[in-house]
Amino acid sequence: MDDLLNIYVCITAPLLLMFFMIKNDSKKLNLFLILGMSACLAASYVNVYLIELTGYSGIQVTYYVTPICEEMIKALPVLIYVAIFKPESENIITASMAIGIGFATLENCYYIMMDGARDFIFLLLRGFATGVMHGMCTAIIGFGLAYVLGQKIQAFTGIFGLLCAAITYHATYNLLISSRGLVENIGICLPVATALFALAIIYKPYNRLNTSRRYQARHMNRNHRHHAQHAQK
Amino acid sequence: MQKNKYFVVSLITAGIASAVSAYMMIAKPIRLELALNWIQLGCLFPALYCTIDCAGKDKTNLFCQFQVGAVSCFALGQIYWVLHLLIIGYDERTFSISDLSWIGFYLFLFSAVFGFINPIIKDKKKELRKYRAAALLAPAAFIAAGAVQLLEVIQNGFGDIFYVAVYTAVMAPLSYYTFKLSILPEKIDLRLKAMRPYNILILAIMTVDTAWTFSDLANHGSLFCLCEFLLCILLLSIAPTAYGGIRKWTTC
Repeated sequence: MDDLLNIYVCITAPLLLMFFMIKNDSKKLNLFLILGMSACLAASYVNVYLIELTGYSGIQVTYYVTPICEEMIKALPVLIYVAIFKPESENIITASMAIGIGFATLENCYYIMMDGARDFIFLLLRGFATGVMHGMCTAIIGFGLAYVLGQKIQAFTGIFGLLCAAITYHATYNLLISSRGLVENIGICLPVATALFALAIIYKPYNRLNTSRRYQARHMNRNHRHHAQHAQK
Repeated sequence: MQKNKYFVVSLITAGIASAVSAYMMIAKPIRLELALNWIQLGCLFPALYCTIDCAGKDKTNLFCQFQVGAVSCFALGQIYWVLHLLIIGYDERTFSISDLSWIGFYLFLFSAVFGFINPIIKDKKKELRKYRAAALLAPAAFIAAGAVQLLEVIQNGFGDIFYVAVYTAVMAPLSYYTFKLSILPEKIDLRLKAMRPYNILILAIMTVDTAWTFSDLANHGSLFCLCEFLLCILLLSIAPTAYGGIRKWTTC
């Protein structure tokens, strides 16, 4: 655990220095990355406590405890950010992604420290998979928050619902990645596949909407020109 | 036409699910519990497609977005549970994360019912008092069922007290609103009539789910299979019913 704290200090110290040099959006992004790493550090301490409390084995903790604990700790900075600053939906999603990626960065370091480097390709794939998975799980909560913001009771039930979804997704990833062979490979591919699927769903309605708006604009222009010509005559 | 599209997709999936279920029960190529979970998972993908397509038609309609959230939650829980059965097997000692997702499913449904259908009636009217009182029967029934389940869990040491309590806490208010909205007379607001099939459907899902938990606790095989199958059909009905209700709502 002390090693993880050392790595945390090593990574966050230069990032904190950079924090005073950069401006606006980059500054925010930097801060969220640091917050994500801090969440990872906090989660690792809580996980150690929960191992003692539940009496589960290491693998059982990975299956049943860490998804709940990590997702709740990761969601906290997003919730605080939204509650205090009331940002725009786009900013919420970016912030939650940054927190998730910051979390994954430190978790990957911890993974290398604990299990050692199996091989470069595996580490590369795992790095991407974990990054996307953590980013996406936090983004689910951020995306949902952007939707339910301004609602009353729906906001609470919606947030809890999304948290439940994020926990289950994380647990599914852990279940697959903890196995060996084909199942593990499926686990590595799962986050990227889900992210692509989610992007396809998110951007499809937007595209449809934009296409219809473009059509409307073109139609209006044509009508306008027609009326202008008619007036000239 | 669009309603028919969702209805047709659901009907075809239900037909295939019935045929596969019948084959699994007769031939038993794999364990029945796992087979039924696979079938349920197979049914959830068309259901998810229908709800996503329905929500994509009007991005500002939060009611449809909540349907997507609900079905996604259920599908995630189902995926996790099937993988859990395949990789780890049935482990009685530990709780299942998939239960969290199924609680999320009910939370989304509660958001939809409480946030969008319930506000259409002015609930404080005196003449509606008898309906409000009658609607209390539904949460009373679910709380009683939850209490019996808790006793069963404590006696047998099988299952999880926390989840039974949380399920009951979520289901009781949801059952109150759905039952109230189902029994209220149509003359109050025509939109109530439009959303009635949806409310009845949610009530039916909760009833079947409770029966499923009882069958699981009591180790009643045939009731368990029946509930699993009924749940498939009911989940498939969410998109056509919600879309039909919303379409009628807009014309009211």
